[in-house]
Parts: sequence; C-alpha cells; structure tokens
Amino acid sequence: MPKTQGAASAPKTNQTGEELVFTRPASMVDRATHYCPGCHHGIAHRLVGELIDELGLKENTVAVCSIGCSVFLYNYIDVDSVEAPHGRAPAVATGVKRARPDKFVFTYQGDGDLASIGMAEIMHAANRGERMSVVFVNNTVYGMTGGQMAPTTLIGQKTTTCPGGRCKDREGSPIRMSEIIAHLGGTAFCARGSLDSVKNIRQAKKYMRQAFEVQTKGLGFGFVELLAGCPTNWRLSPLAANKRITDEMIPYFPLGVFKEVEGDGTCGSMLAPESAPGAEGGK
Amino acid sequence: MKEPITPREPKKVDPEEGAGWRLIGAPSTGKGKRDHRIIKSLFLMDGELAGQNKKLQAKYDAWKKLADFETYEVKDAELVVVAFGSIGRIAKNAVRSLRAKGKKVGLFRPKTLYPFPEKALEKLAKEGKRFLTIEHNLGQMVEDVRLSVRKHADSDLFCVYPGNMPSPDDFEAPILRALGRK
Amino acid sequence: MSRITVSEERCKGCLLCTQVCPVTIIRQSERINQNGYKVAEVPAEDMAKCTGCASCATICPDVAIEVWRGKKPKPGSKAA
Repeated sequence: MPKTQGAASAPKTNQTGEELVFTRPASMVDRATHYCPGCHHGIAHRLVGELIDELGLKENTVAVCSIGCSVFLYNYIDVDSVEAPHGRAPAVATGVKRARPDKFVFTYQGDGDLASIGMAEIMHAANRGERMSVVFVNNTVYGMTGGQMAPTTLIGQKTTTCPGGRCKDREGSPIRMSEIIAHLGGTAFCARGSLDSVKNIRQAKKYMRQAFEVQTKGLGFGFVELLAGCPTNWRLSPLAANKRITDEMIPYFPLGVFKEVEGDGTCGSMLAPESAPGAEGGK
Repeated sequence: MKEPITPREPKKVDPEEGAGWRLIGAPSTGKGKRDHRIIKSLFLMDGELAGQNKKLQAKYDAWKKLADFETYEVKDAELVVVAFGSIGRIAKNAVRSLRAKGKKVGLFRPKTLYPFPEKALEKLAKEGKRFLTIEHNLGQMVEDVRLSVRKHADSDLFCVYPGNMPSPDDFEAPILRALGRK
Repeated sequence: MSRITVSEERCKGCLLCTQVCPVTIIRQSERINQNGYKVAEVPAEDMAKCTGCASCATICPDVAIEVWRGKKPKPGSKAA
C-alpha cells in the first residue's frame, strides 16, 4: 500500500479515525492550474512536488523553467524559481548550480523547448555532467504556441505546421532524447517514463526520484523524460489522448532506464531499454 | 571611434548583496520564513504587464542623463557635421583640414546613440547653425538628428555606402556643398 | 472503509479518473462548475465500494481528489 503521498510528515487523520492517504503535496501551491483538461503537466507538477517533499528539498531548491506551457511551474511549486529564455534552462541552471553548489537545482522543460531550440544547451549540460536534474515533458507538439510540429512529433502526426502529417523525407524522424542523453559522458541517470496510466505514473515517479538523487549524491546529470498528452493540440478528448500515448507514443519512445551510473560515480554500462525501439512508430 | 577606457578597481563582492531578491531556497518555517521568489520576465496578466511596461519606461527615461557627445570647433561654425563611430573620426579630420582653409565648419559626434544627445543638438540648432549628417549606412542616425533639431533647422545627409572605407578628402566636397547651400 | 472527495472547484472534467477506478464508481455528474466543466463524482450509494487505492488521485492532473482510508482497510486491496 502506498504511504501518504504528498505529505512528508505523519499522515493526517480526522475525528472518525479516517486517514488521509492522498492529498496535495505541501510544496505545491493550492491554486487551480491554467492547463487544459487532461493535460499531463498537472501530474508531472504533482510528482515534482511530492519528490521535493519526500526528499526534504523544499528549502534548498532553485527551479529553472523555460518557455512553453511548462514555464508556469513556478506559479504552482512553492520553491525559488528562475525563468530562463526559451530552451536555455540548462544554461541558467548551470550558472545557479555553480554559484550555489549546495542547492538542489532542477529544470522543467517541454519538448519544443528542450529538443529544439534548447538542443545545444541540454547536450552540453549533460556532457559536462552538471549536477542538476532535468524533467523533460514530451508531448510531441508545441503546446503553448498552438500545436506546431516539434522535433518529437511522430511520423504521420498532424499539426498546424504539418497539416498533412509529419513526413519522414521532409521533416526527418522524431528525436528520441533519452537515447541521445544516455550516450553523453556526464549523464548519471537517464530514463523515460510515461504519465498515461497509474502504473506508469508510479514508475515515472521512481525514475524522477533517481534523477533527483544522482544530483543530491553528486554523481552527475540526472535526466528523466515523461511522455505526456496534449489533448487540445492533438484534437483529442483527454481519454483518447491517453490512449494515443499507450498505442502510438510508447512503441516509438520505449520506456525504461537508459543509463545508470554506479554508486561510486563511475559510469556504468549502457542498459538496454525494456522494449526495443519501434521501427517507425506514430503512423 | 573608440572611447578611451578608464581603468578602475572592481567592487568587492558583498555576500549580503541581493538579500531582497536572491534565490537560495525559500524556508517555509523558522526565522527565515518567506514566500518563494520568482525571477521572471514573462508578464501575461492584464495589469501586471502594464505595470512592467511602466517600470521599463521609467528606466529608459532615467537613461537620458547618460547621453554623451563630443563637439569640435562648433562655436563659430555655420555648418555642424554630425557623425559617429569610425566615420566620426574621419569627419573630424575633414573638419580640421577645412578649418585650416578658413571654412566655418564644426563637428558634433554622439558618443551614445541611445540615449541620443538630443538636447545638445537642439541647443546648436537654436543658435542658427545648419547640419550635415554623414553616415556609413543609408541614413539611420539622420532621423534622430532631424527629430532633435526639427523646430529650428533640418539636416542634410551624406551617405557612404557600407563596404567602402572613405578618407577625410572624400568628405570635403559634400561638406563644402552643404556649407554653400543656403 | 475508504472514500474520496472531489474538489468541484478544481475538477476540469477530463474523466481520466473514471478510467482507472478498479471498481468503476467514478462518473461524470450533471453539475457544471464555475469554469464550465462537468465535474466527476462518486454517487453516494457507490462510495462504500471504494477501495482507497488512490489510482484516481494518482492520475488526476489537477490534484482535485483526496483519498481517505478507514481504520481497517480490507486486506488485499488493489493498490501496489
């Protein structure tokens, strides 16, 4: 049975002896999010909040958010935050971490941000092994600006800038970021989780915990990719969007741990993901 | 034209500086308890954005006192050449050699283009001087010059096509032409 | 005995919770909240079936669900 989630302190009980086993994490601000119905950012935010509470990091954390819907993390998570220019969160986080090596520094970025304009920043931050953690929310589309094609958009997926569906010959194949980051020298932990089901959410939280802990242990760069839905820009209902993650995204973006260093800080062997990459998913 | 540098000792870092805004983690309990801080530039809410714009405008207005310029032989000049940067230096040589020939020309060289030294230029215009702007482009600063002097005078324009490096001699003819024009 | 509470102010009616409930007691109500969303609910007569597994709360993107578990939870409940 899961213990009380969200609250790091003792579980709350009421007069009738009922125990509150699930509530808002203490480090999450009690305020309605601006996200659309069924948007998985809310889940990812909550996991971040729960982990900050469970690891006791709240008073020692500086969050870095860059542009995209995800930039508003700072309105919902009750920690000191910096807003970075589009894609530049890893660069800003590098500065924060180097100025204050004792702080816990994480970035929270979307795929239009991290995998496109911020590609150089994320690659070099990982390669340098900056002691930071990155939460990468991949929903295969630019959400904030109205659903344009992202580097992660699946083959055949229709967006406002590829209305006929993404074509491999014209726009290239979707980028698998976790696989790329896993091959860089400074990466201590790299995994891909998904937010489409309860089981996957619980697993994703374990990955996020590891990505956070490689930083607190000083092992290196922690990266976790979360497959998420964008019902509005996919033109799907929240339930259909969830199904699309299961049916189309996970076959192309396999879940699992891609790299995990040993406890002494030396880079361990590259682990194969649980399932093999699909040939050309997303059709 | 480059301005000379003034060496100075850098300030000592004050570890307490920025205590009102720095991000070092927000304690939710105890003595240092405070709300979380956000350093941001994205202001989307209605009044919030207007407030930010007001703040920025006040900052730009405060910059006006930083406007800087150099004048050369303008006191009794009939025509003031306005030029900046490397063209400013070349124009200065042209003005110097024309002065040696007894021509009443001077130079106004803005050291800062933003903020633009509009008050100083307007003062010269009030004194009845005429202007010739020389630029190493097809006319950009001339707009600021004309705005600054618009109540009293206008400015002629001589452009050097970007990609050519002119010599002081190249400016003498256009300056004399402007001087002769009434 | 367990139960859930749905914050009708926060619920956006995405209905992800209705899909993950192992005893399928969560449904869309006819009530519309201030933001115009038809909120999720558990009918009073079905609440006794709640296992307190917290699956609905885990998938809720808006942290709109709180889960309360009674003193003696039934053995062998679904949550892992």
